[in-house]
Amino acid sequence: MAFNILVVDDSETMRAVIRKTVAMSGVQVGEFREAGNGKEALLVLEDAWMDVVLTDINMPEMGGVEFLREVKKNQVLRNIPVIFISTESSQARMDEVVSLGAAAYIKKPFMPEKIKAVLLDVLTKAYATRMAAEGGAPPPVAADEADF
Amino acid sequence: MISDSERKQLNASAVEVFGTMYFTPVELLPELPARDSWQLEGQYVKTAISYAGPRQAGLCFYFPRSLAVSVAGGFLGVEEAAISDQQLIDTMREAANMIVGNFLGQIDPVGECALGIPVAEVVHGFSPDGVSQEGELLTFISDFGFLWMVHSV
Repeated sequence: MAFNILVVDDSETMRAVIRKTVAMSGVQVGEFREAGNGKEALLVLEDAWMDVVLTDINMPEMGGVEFLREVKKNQVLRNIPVIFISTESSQARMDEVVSLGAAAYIKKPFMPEKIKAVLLDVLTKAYATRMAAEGGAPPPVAADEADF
Repeated sequence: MISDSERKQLNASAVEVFGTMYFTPVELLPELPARDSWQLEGQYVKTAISYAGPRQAGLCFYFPRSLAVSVAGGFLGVEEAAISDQQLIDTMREAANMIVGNFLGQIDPVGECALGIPVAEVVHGFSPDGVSQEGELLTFISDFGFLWMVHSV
């Protein structure tokens, strides 16, 4: 089973690094999409199904928290897991996004292994949900596939 | 004026960001280096970011181009000669964002302050005397020379 992944960050550099990290993680990626802010991300989600979203918080136009609120308001999109990757490291901010329904929170700076671990955990849960609906597909990553 | 505890927290943030993400050591100097050691020619990536709320401040970094090139090259996995100014700007915006975001997480654990969007540009030359009226001048040492920062409230 390949997963469609959306990365939302106003830094093109950071999107490229996350893309590389995901590629190295061993996760089977179907479509990989990028967006520069929450508004662009919502347009992507209207256009294509994404299995997981990795988003920054602090972005122009629409930040990650507002984006998450919009996703959770949408009956079709609300079950897509949203992982935050952000510099904002106060416990209050992390508690806020988790209470809004974020699947996980990764603090920048991060080690690639951290993204891999969180992504696999979230995708495994998403995989179980999809398996219940579709059945018969390989897991998100082969045990010896990760390249860290 | 930035307090001693804030200096330590700012240094810890910069050390963590540059060490974890860029494998490049930096360290905040306890005081300005001797004037005859200043190397101010060449290009800098000037990156400004602020936070507002119960506490507010602006931090403006002057990253030496050689430092920015090394960091961006390693971060993006591309040849240093092939790095564009836009990639330098983007990488150093992210670096400043991470340093100040991490710093803010320490001085504002309740999360009452809002972090701004960083703005960066490549500038030619840098004059500590010229910016000293804008705020307090701080200096980090790196393998690529001094990284200057102006802290203003």
